[in-house]
Amino acid sequence: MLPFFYFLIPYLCYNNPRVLIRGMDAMDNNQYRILIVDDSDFSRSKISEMLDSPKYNIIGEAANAKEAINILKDRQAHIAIVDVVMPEVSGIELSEYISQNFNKTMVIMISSLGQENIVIDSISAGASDFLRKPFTKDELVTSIEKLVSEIREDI
Amino acid sequence: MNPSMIQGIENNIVKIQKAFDDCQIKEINIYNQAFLIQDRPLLKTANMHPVTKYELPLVIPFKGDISGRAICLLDTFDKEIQNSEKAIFQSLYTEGMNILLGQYFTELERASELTSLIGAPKIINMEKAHQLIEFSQDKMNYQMGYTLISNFREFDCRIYFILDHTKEHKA
Repeated sequence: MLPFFYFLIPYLCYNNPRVLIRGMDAMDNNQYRILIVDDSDFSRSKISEMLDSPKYNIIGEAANAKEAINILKDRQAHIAIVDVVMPEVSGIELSEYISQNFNKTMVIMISSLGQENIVIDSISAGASDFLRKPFTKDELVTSIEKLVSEIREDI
Repeated sequence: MNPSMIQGIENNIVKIQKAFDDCQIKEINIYNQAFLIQDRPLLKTANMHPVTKYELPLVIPFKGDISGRAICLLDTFDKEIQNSEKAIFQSLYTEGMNILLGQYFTELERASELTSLIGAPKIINMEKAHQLIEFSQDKMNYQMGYTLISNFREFDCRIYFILDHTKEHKA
């Protein structure tokens, strides 16, 4: 399973024009604006705790796609961390919507499921990275930093 | 049903049983906040015990090559959970089971090429849990047990896998 992820994600990101054309808009006080979308209160609070740093500004926490879209309409996020399995609208559908309607927001998908088709569907829906739950703070921060540096190189 | 169809169903059941058996997750660290440790291996079960009033029932549906639902029952008997920590504890338990079953079905696909995806976990009331168990006695059922360790407290947790394949398929 591990070599698959190593090769698949860079390949799909390279071949995904939505990843390459996105640019970051001006940041507030050099902070990355982050939205957390997960139906689990516990998961949202753990992610928020992991990103408790002056570098990150958690602009909102949403328990479902509808709440996430309302937050994004109001405040632009650089990165949305989105759970795959959610009631009603799935994280993959939300990722697709974000890609089409909020093209300055990059998506990191998170899930306890690690099947290949879930990863492929996530990346195809516009997500830029995929983390399998439970992940560590280092893994989450590395994923965010990787996206941010890729975009900076593209600008 | 012709003999080759019956043979096909039997082979599929054997494959599912082996896959279920091979993919058991021994231990899960839930964000350093809690641990789930397997204390009872997966067993095929004919009778599912009724839900007690001390158990917290949670249902997680799964769909795909294997479809059905997992009913998780966390025993809180003799455990003191303050009102202030109730919501966060329930959320931890729900997310713990979501992670456990997500990993389980991921392993299942790796080991057997049987693909199933889990749905969103949902806390249900005791009556609903009773109904699900009552109406599932004729299905193909498995159970296993875990201990949830959080804040120096241990909670017993039984998990039933209720498969949509009925016993008649095996006959």
